[in-house]
Parts: sequence; structure tokens; C-alpha cells
Amino acid sequence: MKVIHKYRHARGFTLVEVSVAAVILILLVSNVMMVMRSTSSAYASTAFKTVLDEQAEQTLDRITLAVMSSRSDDVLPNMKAPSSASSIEYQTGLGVENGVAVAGDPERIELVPDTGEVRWTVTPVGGNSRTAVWARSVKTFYSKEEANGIDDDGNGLVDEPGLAFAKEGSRVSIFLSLLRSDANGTPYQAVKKAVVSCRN
Amino acid sequence: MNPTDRKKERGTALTSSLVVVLMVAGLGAAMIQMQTGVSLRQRQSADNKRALYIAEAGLAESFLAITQGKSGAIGTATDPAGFDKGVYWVESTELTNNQVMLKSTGLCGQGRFSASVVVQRLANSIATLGVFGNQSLILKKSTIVDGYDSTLGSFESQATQVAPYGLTTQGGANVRGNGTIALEATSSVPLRPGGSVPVPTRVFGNANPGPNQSVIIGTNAAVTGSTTPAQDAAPLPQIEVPALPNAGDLTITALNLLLSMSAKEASYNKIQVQTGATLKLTGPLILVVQELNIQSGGVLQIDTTAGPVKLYCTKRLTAASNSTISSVKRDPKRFALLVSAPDADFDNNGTIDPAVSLASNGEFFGVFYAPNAAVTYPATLRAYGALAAKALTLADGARASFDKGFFNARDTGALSLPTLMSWRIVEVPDEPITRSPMDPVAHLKRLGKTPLAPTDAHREKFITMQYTDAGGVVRTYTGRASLLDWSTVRRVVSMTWTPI
Repeated sequence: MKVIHKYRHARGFTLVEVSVAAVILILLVSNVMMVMRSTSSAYASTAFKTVLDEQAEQTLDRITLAVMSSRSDDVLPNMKAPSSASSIEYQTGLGVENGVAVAGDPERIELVPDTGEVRWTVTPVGGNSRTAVWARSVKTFYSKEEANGIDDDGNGLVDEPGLAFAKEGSRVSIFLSLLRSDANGTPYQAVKKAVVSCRN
Repeated sequence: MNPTDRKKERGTALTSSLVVVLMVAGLGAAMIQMQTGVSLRQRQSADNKRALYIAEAGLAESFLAITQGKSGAIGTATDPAGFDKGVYWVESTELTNNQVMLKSTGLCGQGRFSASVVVQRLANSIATLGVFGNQSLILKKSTIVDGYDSTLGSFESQATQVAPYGLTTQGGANVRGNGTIALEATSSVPLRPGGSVPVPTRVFGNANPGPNQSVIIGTNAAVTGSTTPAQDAAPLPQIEVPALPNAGDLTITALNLLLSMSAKEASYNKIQVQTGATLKLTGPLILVVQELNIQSGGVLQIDTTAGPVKLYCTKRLTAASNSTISSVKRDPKRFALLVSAPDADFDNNGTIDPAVSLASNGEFFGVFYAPNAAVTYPATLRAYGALAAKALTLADGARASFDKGFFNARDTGALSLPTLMSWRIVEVPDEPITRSPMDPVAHLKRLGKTPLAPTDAHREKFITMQYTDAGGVVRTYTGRASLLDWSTVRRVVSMTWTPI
């Protein structure tokens, strides 16, 4: 008798109950997975764009600090809007020695079109030059610009490249566009611009 | 149904839900943390830019202090000055050649930035021209130009006898122009039998012509220093003649013998110093005269012992042959003869007459400046200081010694703004406030401090000043500049800033 009672109390789930519960569980899990996937995807694209933006910002900061420290008369080429140049040569002020201002070795920042790199080079007098890559994935043309002889983006420059310099007096305008695709092939663009004055 | 059975009907839905919720919450927390990191980096980038501009604000405040004659030091690392949401301080280091290095450190939020500039301090823009000809500078035969430093002593104490030039320092000349510079040739043989070989024309120092101009050096003439053309033309500031009540004409006759003018400020139409008479100008004095005429045998004596003398001549300056110009205190930094008049047809005969006709004997200690006139400087008037004119000719045998003390002078004649020579980025100094990860204002608050107002952060807050009041009386003030009633100050004679 006790055994019968024991079996009577050991109740389980019916097949229907289990099936319904399983279906509900699957629905819940799939919803959660969808939310997680879309969130992750959104976050990944945001993070990708943010990283690209940060890299563009850092590169622009390096360029602006270099130009700020240079002597206006030594900054070449002297390209005035609507023309622009994809490279810049300058010498950084190093201070004063024996009452005379001293400049550093010639330096150059340029866009290498083949590789889309922003390259910095310093050439000491009588020594070997040193090079560093400051950024990659530079767009061929800046922002919405196209090779059509028109100022497409309304910034006063015509057909400017992804890294462009324009100079007026002691003020240098710097334009930078980075273009990169994520794992899904979606392209993202970071567009930066700065105007700096040569302090020396 | 047995109530006991109900108690045993426990499900796992809640547990599963909790697990899922925890998973999602965990993912969300991870994303938030990652996004916070991105935000922090972006904020630090913005803070670094703000720190850069705060450091530059510090340099601007320091530059202003330099123009006022201060050291340029603003605040310290432990007591910085406040600016917007950040703080800054500026360290000042004196260099040679009257230059000063300023290092400004700016802090804002997480940002830290330091920049350093070298400034050519406030200098007499006229006197530092040296021996200067705007359109042309001609050194006639046997002219000798050298230099010395009046802050180190007299010319005689720094010079030696060098044949055939006589007493000379053999260096220090500052010969400049915006046009060409020409040194006339001299013969290498006596001009007459039994005579001596002419002294060669010499510039003991630099002779720098204007941009794209040249130095023409005649036979036997020489420049011992640089002859490189200047990169930029030197500006000639126009003379600002003070407006003073005019007292008419003044004639000093031999009967007067000696007339000592020490009225602090005076203005006349015409001053004539006749034969045998002496006009003594005693500083501090500002004298404006339209026409100054020193006749043969007349004497113009400058006494700057008690203060500087500035003599403005607005129409014509004539010092006849055998007149004399002399100085009691032989310090070029304290006397300025400023001729604003251009050459003109004074006698209406159709020819242009020189505004400056200088043929005196004696010694000239000071700055001679005639930006609108062509001047021939005589050999009979030994010059110590600076000479500058629209077109300057040093006559045969003239002697001029440039005073390098003008570069270090703080109170001489016309003053100019300091000049920026160099700007560069430097390493942020290692200080507790720069090492602290806290916002600098919060860091100071933790120490019980608040950032100083920029005007209160200057190292020098007190002045010792000699000035003339509305009544023309010379007075002296010592104390905080902000506590002086500046409406009582008519003209500042001299001013020195001190920390205490």
C-alpha cells in the first residue's frame, strides 16, 4: 500500500506540458538571442566607427601639433584654396640658442596614394631619414569630394585628396578622411578638419 | 487533491528566467563598461585640447606681464592661476641678450599640456636700430664704427688703442639699413708727400643691409662681422610728439650765459642759443621745440643725472659749426633727440633744405632719430649710442660707438612690444598636481586651496614708480599698482616691478 501511495505522489509532466514548455522556452531564448544579436551588431558598428573616428582624431592631432610648432615661412608648399596639397614640409622650432632661433631637421607629412597611408618622415642633415606611419585607410578624396573639378563638399577646395593641406599666411587648413569597411563589408568614414596657426 | 501535492509542484521557470536575465544584464554591463572606456578616452582627448589652450592663455598673460616690465612668472605648481575650468602656471627663466624663456603648463580635467616660448624682451625699438639708414647708409672715408656696453662701464674702460684707428673696442658695431650700405674707399698711400696714410674705413662688427640689398665695400674698407642681408625690413616707428602748452620763442643770449631748463615738460616755437650762451637741459625733462638753432659758439648741455631727457624737434634742427653738444652723465640710455620733421623748402627758394643740419663739436651720448630726414653726421661730434635717419651719411672721419646696453634697458625713449622668437611643445613637469588623476580644481580643493585670479598670480605685484603729476611735480610711489590713483599720473618717468 505504501508503494502505491509512493507512486501516486511521484507525479511528473505530461508530454503536452513538456512540449508546450519547450516551445515557450525556445521562443523566449530565440527572442533573447535576437535582441542580443541586434544589440551586439549595433554595438560592433558603433565601436568600429568610434575607433575609426578616434584614429582620425589622433592622426589629426599629431599633424596639427607638428604644424603649430613650425615656422610659417618654412611650411611648404604654399598652396592656397581652392588648390591643396597632399603633403607638407616643415621644420619644428626647437627653441633659442645663443640668442638665435633654432629649427629642427626637415620633416614631411604626406599621403601615400598607393597604400592610403599618412606617412611622417624626418630627414636629418647628413643622416638617414626616419619614417613612421601615422594612419592607414585614407580615402582617395576628402569627404564627398570627387574628381570632377568642382568643390563638391563646399569647403573651398577642389578635388582635394583624403589628406589635404591649404595654407594662407600663417594659417594651415588640414583635411583628413579615413575610409574602412568592417567584417560585414559595411564602409565607414571618419571626416576631420582643423585650422591651425604656425606659432613660430 | 492533497495540499501536500501542491507544495511539491515546484517549477524551474523562475530559475531559468533569472539565469537569462542575469546573462543579459551581464552583457549589458560589459557593453556599458566598454562604452565608458570609449567615453573616457574621448573626454581625455577633449581635455588635452582644453589644456593646450589654457597653457596658451598662460603664455598670453605672461606676455602681457613682460610688456609691463615684469618677469613673466605667473602662479606656481602649488598655487596656479585659474582659467575657465582649468588651471595654469608659467615659469620664467632669464636668458642672455635680454631674452626670457616662458614655460606654461595648463591642466583641465584629465588633460595636461606644456608649451615654452622664448621672448625678446621689451626693448627700445629706435635705439636698437643701431647706426641705421632707412633708404641708404653711407660711411665716408675713414669713418669708424664700433660698439660697447654702457651697463659695463665707460667706453674708455672697454676700448684699447689700436693703430691706426685710435681708441676702439674692435667689435660690437650694429650697422644696419633697409637699403644698401656703402663704405667709402680710402687710399693706402699718403694723400700728400710727408703726410700719413688715411685711416681705413672700418666697421668693427656687423653691417647688415636690407632684404636683397648689399654692402658695398670700397678699397681698404672692411666690415669685420656679418654682412648678411636682413630677412625682413626693419620698421621705423613714427615719433609721437606730446601735446604740451606752447610758451612761444626762447632766445638764450650770452647775457644769460647759462639757462638751465628743468621744468619737467616744456614746449616752444623756437629756441635759439646764441654765441657764448649755454642751454642746459636737466632731466627728468620732456622738451618739444619746433625749431632749435644752436649758433656758432653756443652750447647745448644735457644733464641726465636726475632723470632722462627727451628732446623733440618738429620742424628744424640746426647746430652750426663750432657749436657744442655735451653730456654731464655719459649714459646714452637717458637722452633721446627725436626729429620728426621731414626735409622741406624752408626758405621758399625752390630747393629742398635739410631738416637737420648738424655741424657741432663735442660728444653726443644718446639716441638720435630722424626717420623723415636725410642726415649727414659730422666727424666733429663723437657719437655714443644710436643714430638713425631716413638716409644717413657719416662724414669723413666720423666716429660712432653703438651702445649694446640698449638691449637691456627698460626705460629709454620709445618702447616696443616684446617679440616672440620661438614656440615649442615641452614635457609636462612632474608635479603632484600633474601626477594626480583628479581634476586639478578638485585636487586644489582637497588641499584647501582655490586657483588664483590671473591678475593676482603675477610674481611681481608692487611697483616703485617715478612720475609727474598733473601739476608737473615729480613724485615717487611704491606699492601695489592697483592701489595707485592713476588719474593723478600725468607721465611715467620710470617704473620698476618687485615681488614684495
